Amino acid sequence: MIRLENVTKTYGENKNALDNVSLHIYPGEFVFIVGDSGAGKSTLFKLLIKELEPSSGEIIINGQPLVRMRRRKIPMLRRNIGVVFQDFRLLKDRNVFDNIAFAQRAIGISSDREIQKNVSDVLKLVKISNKYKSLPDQLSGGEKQRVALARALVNKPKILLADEPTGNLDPGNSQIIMGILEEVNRRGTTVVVVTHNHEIVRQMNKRVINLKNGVIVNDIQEGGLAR
Amino acid sequence: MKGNSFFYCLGQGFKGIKRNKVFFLASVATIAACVFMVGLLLSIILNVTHIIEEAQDSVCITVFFEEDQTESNIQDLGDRIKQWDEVAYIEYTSADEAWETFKKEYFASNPELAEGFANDNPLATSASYSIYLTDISYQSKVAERLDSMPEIRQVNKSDVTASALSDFGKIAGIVSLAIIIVLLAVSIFLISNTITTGITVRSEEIKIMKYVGATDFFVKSPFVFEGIIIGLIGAVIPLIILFFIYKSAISYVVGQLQTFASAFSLIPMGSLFALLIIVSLVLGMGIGFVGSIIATNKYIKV
Repeated sequence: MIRLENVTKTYGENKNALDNVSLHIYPGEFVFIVGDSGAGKSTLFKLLIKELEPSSGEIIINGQPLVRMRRRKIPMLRRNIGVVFQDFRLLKDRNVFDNIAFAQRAIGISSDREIQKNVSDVLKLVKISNKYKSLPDQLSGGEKQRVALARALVNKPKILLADEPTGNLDPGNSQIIMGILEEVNRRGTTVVVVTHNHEIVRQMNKRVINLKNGVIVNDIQEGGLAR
Repeated sequence: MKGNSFFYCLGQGFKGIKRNKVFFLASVATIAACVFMVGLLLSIILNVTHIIEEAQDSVCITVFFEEDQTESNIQDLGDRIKQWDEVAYIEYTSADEAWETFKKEYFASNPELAEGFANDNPLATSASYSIYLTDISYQSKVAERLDSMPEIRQVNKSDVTASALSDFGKIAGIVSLAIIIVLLAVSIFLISNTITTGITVRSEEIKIMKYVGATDFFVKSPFVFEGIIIGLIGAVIPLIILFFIYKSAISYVVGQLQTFASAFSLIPMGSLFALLIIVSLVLGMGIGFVGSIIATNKYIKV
């Protein structure tokens, strides 16, 4: 599903954000990527959504090599990757429904009925159906992140990438978000969560890839933390 | 683009305008100012050119014939002159016609004075050809050629008028072109800055669109529609203003400058605006289109 082979990303002169990283994430896995600030988590995240190009190495997602991928093929790649950010990135001038429907329009779905059904389904999944008319500023942090999750999931991606999804949330809301991610994973979506929230990582007991100074220092398989 | 997506993008264009009213007003004002200046300048240039052309058309060479020339000689001479490439057309004024015109001009208030010449035309040797040229710059050359013809006694021309009109036309054209180029360059700079500022505010929206897998075309479409709508409105406003200014100018020329109005006329409203509408719409919508494409390109490479 996601394969990195000897990936190095260098910024400026001799500053390796990622140094010869190789990893393989299989379909249906739930993986945490952890590490301190500057460990290379964000660089890895940006490489996976092809916002950055690696300096060397190969990245393959859903069987497609990302290096030298033509620009016009990037939208198709991203339609199979849902993305969630720490700061939610909702459009403040649109209500919950429009924030999610917008993702459907962006991939060319033009039937209002189809969009309405898909948005309604995903709102049920993230348990926020009653707030579909609210504007982002009328929502709590946890609710905003659920809307962001709904937007990432509405196009039914095969992979969900979440960058510090609980970074701005209290423990209660963090639990809710993790519960939704687990449910999404149970339904077959591969979930990759970049975080430095060790408590959440410990509780979830999933596979954990630990980055330090751009290098994978350990890769603990699911259930490994409990042993 | 499917029909629904087209209307969605168009709708988003309008919503974008509604959401960013300040940016919208700034862009419309910039485009309107640019189109107004170009439209005003174009109206002036076209009218100056029109007046020069009219003046040039009215400037002619007048030739008088040797006394021994018969009517058939004069007719033959006229036929030959008409054949010249530089000659647009010629008009014959007989001695009697010349005297009639003279009488109307100088003895209108005392017709009895002219009666003294009843049987003796004092302008008997004043039959003439008025020769109108295809271009006023040929005047010296044609006059020289006419002067060398044995049938012709005298050639009257106005070198000063001819060269002044010709030079003024050229200078007016060059200066106007230079002003329009500078004006366009300044306008495009201002507009690209205004649109870039407007789109910077919405760079987040563009990024999110790209993250969810929108194509560049889909991302750009609402902004391009918005740019075209802004350009359209920015072109219509100065057109309306120019319409009323030009209407007033025509009334002023006709009403206040009657003495000069017979010497020159402004281009009719319909003819001028048929051109101005096309130029303004193409300019306004073109600037909106190009400006939005340039500005979105800065943020689309996510």
